[in-house]
Amino acid sequence: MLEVENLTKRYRGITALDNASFQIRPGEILGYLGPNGSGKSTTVKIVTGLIDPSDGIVKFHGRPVSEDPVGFKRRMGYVPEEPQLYGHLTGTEYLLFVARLRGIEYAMALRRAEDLMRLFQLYDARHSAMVSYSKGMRQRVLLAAAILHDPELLTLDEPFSGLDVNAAQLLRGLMQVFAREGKMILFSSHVLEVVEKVCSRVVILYKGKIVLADSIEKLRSSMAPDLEKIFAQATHREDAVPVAESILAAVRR
Amino acid sequence: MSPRRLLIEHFFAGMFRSEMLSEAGIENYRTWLISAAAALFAFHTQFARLRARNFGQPSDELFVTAASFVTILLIVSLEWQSLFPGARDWQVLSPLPVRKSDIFVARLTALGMFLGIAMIAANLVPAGLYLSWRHWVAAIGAGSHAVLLAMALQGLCLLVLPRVFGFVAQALLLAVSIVSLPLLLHVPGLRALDRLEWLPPMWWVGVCDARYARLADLSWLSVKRSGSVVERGRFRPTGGDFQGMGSIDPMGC
Repeated sequence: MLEVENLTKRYRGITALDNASFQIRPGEILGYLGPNGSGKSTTVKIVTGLIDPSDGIVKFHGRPVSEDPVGFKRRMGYVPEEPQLYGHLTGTEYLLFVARLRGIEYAMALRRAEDLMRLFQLYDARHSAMVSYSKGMRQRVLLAAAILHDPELLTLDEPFSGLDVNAAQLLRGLMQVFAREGKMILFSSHVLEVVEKVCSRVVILYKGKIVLADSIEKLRSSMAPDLEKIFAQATHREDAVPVAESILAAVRR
Repeated sequence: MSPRRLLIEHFFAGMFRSEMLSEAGIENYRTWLISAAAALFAFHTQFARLRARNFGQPSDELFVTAASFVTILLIVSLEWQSLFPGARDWQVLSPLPVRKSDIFVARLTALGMFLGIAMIAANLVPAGLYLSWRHWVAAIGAGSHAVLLAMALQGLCLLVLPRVFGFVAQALLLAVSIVSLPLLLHVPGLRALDRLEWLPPMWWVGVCDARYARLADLSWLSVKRSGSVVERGRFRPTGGDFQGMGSIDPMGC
């Protein structure tokens, strides 16, 4: 189980994340939602070890991650929002490099890298440097890199950006299969439709604070019939149509 | 293979596979190789000219030390982005089970190996010409001086122009080395070297030529000074983060 307790992050006095706590149980996909700048990516970066929290603790199976960050990262896969890769490497080389760093022996790493390149429909581009890949192709390479060691925890930060319909469906299926096998998924996204379809629980952040955390079923019965309305209520979002009309009026004035 | 060794291999190989070159494909590699061959040919022609006449004048010695100095300075400025862990290394490697210290040490080791090979390659011809350990030491010393000077220059830019120091330092180094290259070809045959005593490569002539021995102290002193500037600067991992020279604040904060 992943436990996030009282996580706080301040950047030069500005609080980006304020006392956030949540858990992810095995077999659960947690939807992590919030408007831009609400602290979603900050949380994901703390969980993945990209940044240190100002306060609070992340525990994995009851042990603080900070006690053995390298051991924790061996059991975690991560897909970042922006596809950051070594562009001079080919897709296969990159997967091989990540697999070797994850301690997978060369022959097995090569087999997995080639299999994943094929399954993610990147096989034709296996000899090309990733600098020539489209955003969607890079995103698929990152997905392959995140799962090639069969992690217990998958952390996805806007993983659908740049993916075409087929790849997005594949990712959705992958998440469901992973959850069915008892793995944990932290899924940070703006795509409420997908969250509604694949997640069992959601956490909604607003201005760095968790304003709502419950199962989708319960939220539907207590707040609104669909996630978009629940999200709008939780984040005090104004009705979009009058705002759009005001914008149009402003540019015509 | 240990993660550190994998990282050293990765960073070292990356220095020969620039993204700038791979972006437009193999054609750029060919252009690069032809340019390198042309540069080597030009140097070879110059050395052949030196051999044909009464070789061994102080100006020839200055040519050898200056060639080493300028070549290494050009290599350092071209490889500037890949010398130290940057934002991308941090974003790609931090979620992987690798210690931050391993990333930093691997980068530095790869850099040391690369510059070592570059220095040996740049001084093979002078070594063949002189066959004297003093000239070899002077040429290697001049190359090392160029590396330390480049680092010290970056430190200075970091103090004066913290936001754009990387760009300014690289532009300055590139400008100096590109302007120096054609001037270099006019060095053999120069008579009045006394007026050039302010040039760092001239100080290294003092190491191999008794007539300029008084400058030798200056060369060692300058290396010592540049080294201490680098050593006192940000050129070390701090507080568990690797904030090497040239690295960008990964969070932009």
